[in-house]
Amino acid sequence: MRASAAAFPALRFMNHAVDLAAHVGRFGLLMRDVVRALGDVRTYGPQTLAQAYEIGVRSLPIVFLISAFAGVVMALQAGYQFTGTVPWSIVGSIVTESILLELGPVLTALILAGRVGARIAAELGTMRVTEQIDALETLARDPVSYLVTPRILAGALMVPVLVVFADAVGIVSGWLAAVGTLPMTTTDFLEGARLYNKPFDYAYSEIKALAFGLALTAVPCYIGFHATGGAEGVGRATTRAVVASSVMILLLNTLLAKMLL
Amino acid sequence: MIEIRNLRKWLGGSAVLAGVDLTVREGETAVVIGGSGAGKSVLLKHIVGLLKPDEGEVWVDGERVADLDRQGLARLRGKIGYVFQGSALFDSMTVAENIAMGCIGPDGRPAVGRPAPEEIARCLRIVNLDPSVMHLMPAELSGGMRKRVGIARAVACPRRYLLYDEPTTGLDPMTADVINRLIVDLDDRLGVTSVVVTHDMKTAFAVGDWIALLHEGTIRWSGSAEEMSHAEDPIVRGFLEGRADLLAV
Ligand SMILES: Nc1ncnc2c1ncn2[C@@H]1O[C@H](COP(=O)(O)OP(=O)(O)OP(=O)(O)O)[C@@H](O)[C@H]1O
Ligand SMILES: [Mg+2]
Repeated sequence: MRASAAAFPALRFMNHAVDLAAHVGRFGLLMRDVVRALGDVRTYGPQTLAQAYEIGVRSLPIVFLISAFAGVVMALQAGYQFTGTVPWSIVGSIVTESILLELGPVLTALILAGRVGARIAAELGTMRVTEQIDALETLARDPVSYLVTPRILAGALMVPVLVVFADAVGIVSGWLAAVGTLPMTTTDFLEGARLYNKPFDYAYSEIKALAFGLALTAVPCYIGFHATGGAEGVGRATTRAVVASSVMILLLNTLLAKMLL
Repeated sequence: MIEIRNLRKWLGGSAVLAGVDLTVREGETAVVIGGSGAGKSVLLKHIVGLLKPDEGEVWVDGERVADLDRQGLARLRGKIGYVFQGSALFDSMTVAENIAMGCIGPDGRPAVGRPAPEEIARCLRIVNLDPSVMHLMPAELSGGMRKRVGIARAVACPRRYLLYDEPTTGLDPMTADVINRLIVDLDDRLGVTSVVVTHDMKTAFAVGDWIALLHEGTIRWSGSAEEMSHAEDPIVRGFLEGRADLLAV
């Protein structure tokens, strides 16, 4: 009795481990196909442009909103925390560094995991369960080259661009909030901003953006591409894609901080 | 020629196909009938390589489908038109773009450039649709219209093989007759080899050179329409007469 009680969680864990290994394997196979499809520009080229517009241009408003608020909040919190202890210029350092290193790329990626990731999983999942992906195959089109490669490429191209925009908006709004609400000047803010700033910080922001852009498109593509079970299955795939790509973004975030900083 | 030997397939933990043997010679039209869930769609999907056999072999045009690499499969699929049971139209594309996707060269590569609107209109007319629907999106069509666009897409370019999954289900009797005539005509005029999966006995008799009954994972009975009407087999009779009590034997 005791033995079986002990055995059950172990068995369950084994099952999960096997499932996870299977997912990693199939994800790897899909990525291999994505890379192989890179030769087939005629198929994915036009699709990539459409996806880049969808991911890039149509995400601008939400990215603007979230990074503007992030910049303002950073300035206000820094002002509150350091009142009277250190020079006001520290607010400039805190706003620029936290936006560049963390908030710009991470907030943008998490918002896009919801906006873009859900859309990709729902789209590909619906195509899978209504046999449109099978139809592509019977019409001698490579569904990976047609559907997956353009979405991942568009993510890799557009998320870094969006993060440049997010960084700029965040820093500018932090500066406006700082000089508008705290007893400090633009000179103070710029002095602080320059103090700890290194050229690598910009590169780091963009490296993160690229990694997140790949993750928040590749994971939902994989999940949508392998969806099963009708409308309900598509719903499940969509939720799972948002959760999985968000977790992936947080993991990559930690990993990159450990490796590059 | 399509040759299926001892095909077995397990799906969802049960044997859907349990040793199917079926040979469709060049230029023939074979009809496969069978109850709902008998595995007819699964059988058709093996012919284009959308599903892989667990056991047994599928040969099309002298090639074993399971042995083909990516290019080989694309080349083979360029010769085969497939009408999906649920139409499977691309819902981000217009009707015209959907039909244009059906144009594949003999090398299995998509045809270069867009077909002329007159060409699309011709494809729509042969399935009894008004050419004005070419600008609509699939979501704006009725079920029967979608079905016919699916057929138009499959026959948009000359094909040597055509596989129809329930081509007339959900169509009114007149339109169903147009589709039946289309299948017969493609067969007579272009020598297309076809497999038609259907529930509709009218279609089965109208288009089939012979009819096979798929039951419990194997071909239980096959023969001509003439032989079918005299068959003693209770399952065949159940099908012909639409009587469930005979099927329960
Ligand atoms: N992907 C799948 N996973 C699990 N089971 C499946 C799958 N596809 C089909 N099946 C099962 O295989 C059986 C045959 O399915 P199939 O779609 O071939 O039936 P059918 O003969 O075409 O029926 P209908 O006339 O209703 O279309 C069904 O019992 C179905 O549950
Ligand atoms: Mg079916």
